[in-house]
Amino acid sequence: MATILETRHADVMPLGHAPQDNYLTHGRGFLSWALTLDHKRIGVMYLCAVCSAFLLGGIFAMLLRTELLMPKNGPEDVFLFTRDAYNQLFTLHGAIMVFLFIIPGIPAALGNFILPIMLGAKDVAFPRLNLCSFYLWLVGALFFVLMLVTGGLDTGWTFYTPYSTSTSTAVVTAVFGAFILGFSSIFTGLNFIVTVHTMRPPGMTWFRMPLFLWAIYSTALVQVLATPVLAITLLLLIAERTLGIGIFDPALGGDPVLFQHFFWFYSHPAVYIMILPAFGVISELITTFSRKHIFGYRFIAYSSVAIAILGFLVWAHHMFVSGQSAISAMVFSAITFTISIPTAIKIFNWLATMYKGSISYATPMCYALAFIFLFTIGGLTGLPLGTLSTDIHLHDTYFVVAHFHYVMMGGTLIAFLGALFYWWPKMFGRMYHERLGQISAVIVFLGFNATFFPQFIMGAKGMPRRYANYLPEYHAWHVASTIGAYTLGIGLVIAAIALIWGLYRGKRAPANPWGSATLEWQCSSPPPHNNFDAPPVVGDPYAIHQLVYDPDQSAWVPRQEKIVESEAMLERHTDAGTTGH
Amino acid sequence: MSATADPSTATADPHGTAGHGHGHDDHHEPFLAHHFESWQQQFDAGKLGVWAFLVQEVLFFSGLFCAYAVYRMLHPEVFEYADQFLSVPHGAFNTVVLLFSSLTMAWGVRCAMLGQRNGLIGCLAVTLFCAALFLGVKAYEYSEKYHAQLIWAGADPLTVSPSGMQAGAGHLLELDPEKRAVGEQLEERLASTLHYLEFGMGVVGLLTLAAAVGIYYAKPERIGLAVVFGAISLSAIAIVIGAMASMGIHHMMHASGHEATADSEAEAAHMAEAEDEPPVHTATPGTAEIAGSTHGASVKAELSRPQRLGTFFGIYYAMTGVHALHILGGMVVLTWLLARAVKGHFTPNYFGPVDYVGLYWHLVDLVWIYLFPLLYLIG
Amino acid sequence: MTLFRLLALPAAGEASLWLPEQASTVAASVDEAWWLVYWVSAVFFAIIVVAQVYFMWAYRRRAGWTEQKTAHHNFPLELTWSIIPSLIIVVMFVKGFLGFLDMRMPPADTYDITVVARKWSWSFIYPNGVVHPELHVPVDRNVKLVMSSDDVIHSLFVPVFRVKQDIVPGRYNYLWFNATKPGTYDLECTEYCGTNHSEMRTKTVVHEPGGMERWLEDRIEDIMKMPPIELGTLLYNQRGCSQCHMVDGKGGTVGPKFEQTFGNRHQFTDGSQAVGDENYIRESVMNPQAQVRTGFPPTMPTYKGLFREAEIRGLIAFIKSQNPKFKAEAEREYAKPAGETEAGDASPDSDLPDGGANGAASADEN
Repeated sequence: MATILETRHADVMPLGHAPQDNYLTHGRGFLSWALTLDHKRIGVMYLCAVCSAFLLGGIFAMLLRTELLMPKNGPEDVFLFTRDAYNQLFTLHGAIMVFLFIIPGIPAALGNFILPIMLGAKDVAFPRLNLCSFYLWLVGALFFVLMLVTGGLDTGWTFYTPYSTSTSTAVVTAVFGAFILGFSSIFTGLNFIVTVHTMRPPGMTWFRMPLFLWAIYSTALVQVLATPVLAITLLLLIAERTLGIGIFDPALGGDPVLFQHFFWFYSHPAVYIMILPAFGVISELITTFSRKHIFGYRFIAYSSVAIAILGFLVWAHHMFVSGQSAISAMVFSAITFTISIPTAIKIFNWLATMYKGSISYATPMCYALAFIFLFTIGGLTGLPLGTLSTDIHLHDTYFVVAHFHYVMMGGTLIAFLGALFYWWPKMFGRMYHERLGQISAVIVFLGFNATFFPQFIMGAKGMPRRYANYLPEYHAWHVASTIGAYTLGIGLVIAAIALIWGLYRGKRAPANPWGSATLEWQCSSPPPHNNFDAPPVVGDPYAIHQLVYDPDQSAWVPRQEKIVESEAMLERHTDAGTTGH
Repeated sequence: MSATADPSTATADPHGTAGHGHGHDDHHEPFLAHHFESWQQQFDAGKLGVWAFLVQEVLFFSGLFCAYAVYRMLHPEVFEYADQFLSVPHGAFNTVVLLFSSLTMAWGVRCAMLGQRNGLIGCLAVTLFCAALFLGVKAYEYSEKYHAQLIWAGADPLTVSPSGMQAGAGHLLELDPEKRAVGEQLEERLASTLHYLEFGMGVVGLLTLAAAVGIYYAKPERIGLAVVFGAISLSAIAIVIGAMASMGIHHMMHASGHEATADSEAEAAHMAEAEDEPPVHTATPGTAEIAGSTHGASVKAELSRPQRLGTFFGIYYAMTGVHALHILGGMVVLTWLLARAVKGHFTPNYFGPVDYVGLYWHLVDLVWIYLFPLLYLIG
Repeated sequence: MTLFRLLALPAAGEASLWLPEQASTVAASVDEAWWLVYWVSAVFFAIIVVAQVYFMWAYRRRAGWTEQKTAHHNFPLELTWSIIPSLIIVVMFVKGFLGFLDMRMPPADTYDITVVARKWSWSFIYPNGVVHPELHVPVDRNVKLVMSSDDVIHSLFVPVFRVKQDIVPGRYNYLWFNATKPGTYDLECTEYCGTNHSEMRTKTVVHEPGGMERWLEDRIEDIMKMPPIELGTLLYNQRGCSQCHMVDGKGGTVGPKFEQTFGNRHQFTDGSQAVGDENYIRESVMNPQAQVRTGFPPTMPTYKGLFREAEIRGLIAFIKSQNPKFKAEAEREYAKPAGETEAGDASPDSDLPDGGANGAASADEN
């Protein structure tokens, strides 16, 4: 498990910039952060914010799993939480994770920080709108907090009518929060689209863009095109609940299934808002840590766009049992299947990228490898859900829960962690604790599988989701799942420690600790306020072979700087970096 | 448009300063943000951003249009019946107002491109005036419908539950049909609501006008603030005019026509409806022949009020309400533009914001162009 | 071999690690689709993971190994791994769609059971009018469920039948199956519906030939044995009375409260008046439009032919007992089981097709 990170020269200053000249030190004081227009600071603020939301959602998840340790006899039998409390817990877990964490997670936090630098731009196109997005997120989150203290929410994150129009919990507050969060997401997406279109420096053609940018760009398209439909839906839901406008409430002549159509018209593409950025991250990690040019660049890029487009045409596969016509079920099932093709292409391309590479086991790569394994399971278990006859059996069971956790958590969260470890040195100028990071990856991987694999089995046997209580025959599986969840929690805590330790004790990070050829590694770590003093030299983002390891700086540098050295010397340096101790 | 309007000088002069990331150093061109390399890049970014925003807006409204289509399909009897409660003359008047405002807006963009400051100010002011006029007419229409109990399902006593009528149908049931015509009472209530509105808006208009003039003379350097107050004053007065004009249209229709206008039909419907309700046992359910409505117009209407009329009005209020919110938003940005125009911010180099707001305004106009026929015309 | 069966390919109809046993005709086709997808997935998973693990081992960064330059893209290869999965998913789609069509198209000759779902219980109404909280069906017969909901969306799921259908308020949803194995199985609500969603479970009982008829007769006997007030309470809750009439501050407000019904003088819309007595209640149930109380809409449907005589007695007893002044009298008067009064058999109104009665059997429901 030796890695390239273990260097002998711990405190070598990065070339170029003195450490005081970076975005972190460019202004001081609270207001210099609160009113900043710098995409990097906004990204860091987002990062803190979404991680807090993740912590909260994660605590709810642990409480849920703990409650499910014991089956109960009848409605009056209580283990830890009442039925209502449990219903609130799963609703809050879902709503917080979806609206506050996963959707803004990679695009708003990491995308904000990385996208302009990776593109070679000074900032996003609309810095003020960018800050506005962040504050909209904050206001939306405050509404969620307000909802928590004024009666909670027990509708499930999907707000299905007529339950959501008849329950006594704080639905309007929560829905308004989600409405605001929607606009935060729209503005972020809009900003990224315009940035990618108009802010590319000379030489940065579309097909020189790193795949992370393609993924973020595709995500942004979905954000701008799908979220407004959610916004109007939520607005109508608020009107339904407060005024009784009669659009979704069957008691007033409305159609509750129309709500489901509207909701999933957003929320299915939203699944791709969550997972596409993760694909982008994995493309970067695999190529960097395999020291190989990405395989099938155009196929991966186009598949991102294809997924974004197809994602709009499959929403009704969430409603195969709602009574829609057999024809529409057939059409939506067929289109759903087609989405698996671009996804499969990506996985095959990543594997092909690893072929004959030099695979490092640095923490980001550990997470990327875990991603391929987990996401493959997540993707393949989507097949029986897209198959009409089996979906009837599996719909709304734990099988679905396990499937989307394998995709959302095994996919997006794992990629988010990998990205965090990968860009941590760039963001804060210090290396994280490598060994702890690797340990966290292994524990997270094991804990994750222990948590969610049993849920596939329970679901196939017929265990419905959103159940506070269950039949005794599922007891053993639930216990296994809960133990897995605790393990997973421990893994995540270790990951957090590995990162935060780095902030205080980590070695100073060089400009390019990994040997990646994308632009963000050309500027210092942390980057200066304006990212680049001179427009960066744009080339093939995956021309990794042009970089060689320089043990004197414990960093990767362009090959021409080392031209004087012999091939043998090069060989030796690479080995030194590789074998470590 | 943008290509010709953005002179190449724009790229030449600020290029050097922009590279250093401090647009503010350049006193001649203070509005080029530091992260853009050129005026052209900034303009293009803004334009693409606005187009993306408009796409977002279209999708936002598309939800409502889908809901409209679905309910029209589910309840054709309601939708075919309901449009007679909406006044085509008022809707048509508003359509003309908005179309005219789109014209002045486009003209304003042209003035900005050519650097005609006074023309720009005039055009923006007229656009703002039209927007507020539109809202004035809308206020009249909403009040009228409110008093006639043409409300969304949840507030509509007939939809909620037959027994809910007793509790919810308050003011219609108090009417004593033997003493006065129902229509007359409705009209009185409507007129009184509108008087309150006109009085309130008039006061707001005068106060803000005074504030604007005061600021202008006391602190000429705060001209921007004065313009904002002036714009509010203008809007308030336009709303008053709009409400009065609507009342005028209403009277004109009754005075001139023996034909059954939409309004009188609505009133008649409500008479019929009122008579259907428990305290009045005389009317045959479903049909009513009413002579001597408000202003002598004789109305013979075949009316069978569908129980689900609230479904239509739920959608009507949702669509027009969301549209009205967009008009309000447009008025806010128009005010902002007006203040900047008065300060002389816009030049042939820098007129992006006027252009962007213009695009937005055309979209709001376009949405109305769809709403008017869908709600008012096709029955 | 057993392990293999458990994991991967069980004998027909048996439970495996994954799926429960099969107890309906469509289950076999669903399971075929499942195992098809399962094996395709397993093969792809194996290919991907084996390749991944092999690469991780063979190309790990180490002394003496440097990365090799390989092609950046290979169009034929890309095309191959795009087209082969595409062909496979077509097969899966067709298999799933055909199975789905079977499940969605009920055959012509079905045994119909009406299902009413509400927070958080089920009522199954059988053709002879018996209402019961459990689903009972005959074996080897096409059964169609006609389902509606009183409040929010529910979903009926019987895992061993592999069928599931949402029940959306404001419309009817249908579900059909043909049970192949007598036995007792689980039935669950799978659409989240609030507090006791996880308790909204009941049993599905598949009867041997002839068993269904016996069971229905037994339920009618149960009704006859119930004390009238208890039967009336049950009917009030089960047959929709509570939607419009309030009792103890709960229920709808469309119709009059039952507290005021018995023993008070009522004004009717035709101008007449009458005191609420047994005959008035009977008339109001059988022919509601004959006398409509002022202040209430004439919206109550007739229940003529829908109640057995014993049940009408039960309703009268229940409504009478709601007026505190007459509670004691009602309890005295209606002490004997509903079916054992002199009026019980000489039912003037028992024109039910099967000669059966309505109502539910077990008093523990609700």
